Amino acid sequence: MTQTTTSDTLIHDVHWEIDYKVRLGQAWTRFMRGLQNKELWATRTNDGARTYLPPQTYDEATFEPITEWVQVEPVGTLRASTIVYQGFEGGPTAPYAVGAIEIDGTDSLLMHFIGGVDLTDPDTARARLRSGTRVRAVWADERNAEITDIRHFVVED
Amino acid sequence: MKDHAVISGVGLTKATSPRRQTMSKYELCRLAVDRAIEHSGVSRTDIDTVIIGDIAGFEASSVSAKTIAPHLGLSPMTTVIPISTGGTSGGHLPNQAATLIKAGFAERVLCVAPNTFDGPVDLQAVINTNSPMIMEQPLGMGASHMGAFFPGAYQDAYGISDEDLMMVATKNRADADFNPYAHVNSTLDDEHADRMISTPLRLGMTCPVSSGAIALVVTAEGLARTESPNPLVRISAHGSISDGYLGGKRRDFSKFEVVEIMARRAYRDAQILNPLDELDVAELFNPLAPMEYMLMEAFGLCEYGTAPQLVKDGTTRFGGTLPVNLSGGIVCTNPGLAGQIAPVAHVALQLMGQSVTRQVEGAKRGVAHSAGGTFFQFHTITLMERVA
Repeated sequence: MTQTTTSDTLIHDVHWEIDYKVRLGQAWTRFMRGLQNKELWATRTNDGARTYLPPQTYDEATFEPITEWVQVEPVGTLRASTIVYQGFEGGPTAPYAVGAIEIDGTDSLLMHFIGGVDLTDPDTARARLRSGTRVRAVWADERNAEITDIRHFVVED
Repeated sequence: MKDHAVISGVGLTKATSPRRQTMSKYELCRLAVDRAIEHSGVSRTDIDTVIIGDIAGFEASSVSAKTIAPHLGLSPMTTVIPISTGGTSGGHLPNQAATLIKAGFAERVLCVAPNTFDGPVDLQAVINTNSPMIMEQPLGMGASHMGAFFPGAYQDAYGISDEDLMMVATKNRADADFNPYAHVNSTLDDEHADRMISTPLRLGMTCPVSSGAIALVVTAEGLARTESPNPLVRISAHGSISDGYLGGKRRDFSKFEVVEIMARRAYRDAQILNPLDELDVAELFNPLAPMEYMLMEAFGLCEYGTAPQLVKDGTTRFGGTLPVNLSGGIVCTNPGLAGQIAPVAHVALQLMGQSVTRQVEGAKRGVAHSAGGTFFQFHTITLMERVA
């Protein structure tokens, strides 16, 4: 028969501290170097049917390799968003907004911060960030070949 | 020998908070296992396979399934299969048991779903390791924030009110009052519940961090016919599906695009033509309460954008055509792995006529679902039918 412990069971600490180095590969390296240069690069299938941003070197529909790169303007349409009022330790200070953006000419969504909107009142802010809102990227002053080389996207009226 | 698979035994433990939990993971799993084995009528030494779930990063040791196995009091020759697929691990356990039995590679399989969240001091830090790295992880999204994209887009697409989003959470908590194994119930006060986390998700729409374990025994049907004291609940169909990993791979956050595909395949396998009419009970994995609406639609219970009406008119409440989440759902109880297998456990008990919550009279067919990934990229389905 199963014996249970007493209610004042001991608790011990276990601690991990592990660092990783992750190789980005060809496609994402080129993409990030593009961001560092204030450029947004995507990959496009030969028939133009699908354009990937972030870029990838194979097509999900046909499994064929993709070799064509296209530069796209960092402007698009907001398709979904959320305004964070309770963040987490180590994250940005709330409130802040994050969106899923369909960059013009591409077929997946790029996620990024949405800036420049007054977030004090959730209802007003949500009305400003409805699906269909046009947004444009603002580049960070300091760029290190990371996704945060884009500082955020702002609403374009 | 190939045979159908039936869920022959269910072992539940009462959920509490990790802070209040007094048992070690091994002890809790052992308790759930003992209960499942006793319920099943199977002899302990006849278990030939044990499938144990864990989620990488949440445990203080790697492949914790392997460290748990020796504590369960099983024969040393028992095959041990760890499954680690994030939020769908629990859903995969009975599906894999059924696969092995139907292929003739196992006869009596024990499924163990441990308490996942007891260990980490900073749970969010662990959850963030699931965030798509490099491209999206630096963007300040924790689990609630990623999850919020879905009800936000759903609300935007169909004009669903904040009140309607909260309505289903209130239903879940009211149902949890009738589930002695649930964690949170209707005693959650409104002021807490209304606090905005990440639009449109409020605290009362999000799951707690719970501690508990669940085990199932899955047996070859021919053996269960002679051994099991319970009505036979056959796993009549099962499946899983995945969507693209980056959050941005979802083209439409207002629906779970791939869940409809998964449900249709499983319905075809089980010959279910009209799920709303032919199913008697459903447990759909809802760590965020509004997911219940989106899942109802993806599972074909109603047209997209219309699920709140089925809650309003009682169709999916107790006493309605197809009660959904009578256990209170994951938004009331989320111990991780155990939470992911709970839908299967509760549906199985309903079909046995032995529900620990309110019993749906004469329930014969049911569906259970689990979901994983912070953008709900993965899903499982388990369809069950009482055959004797």
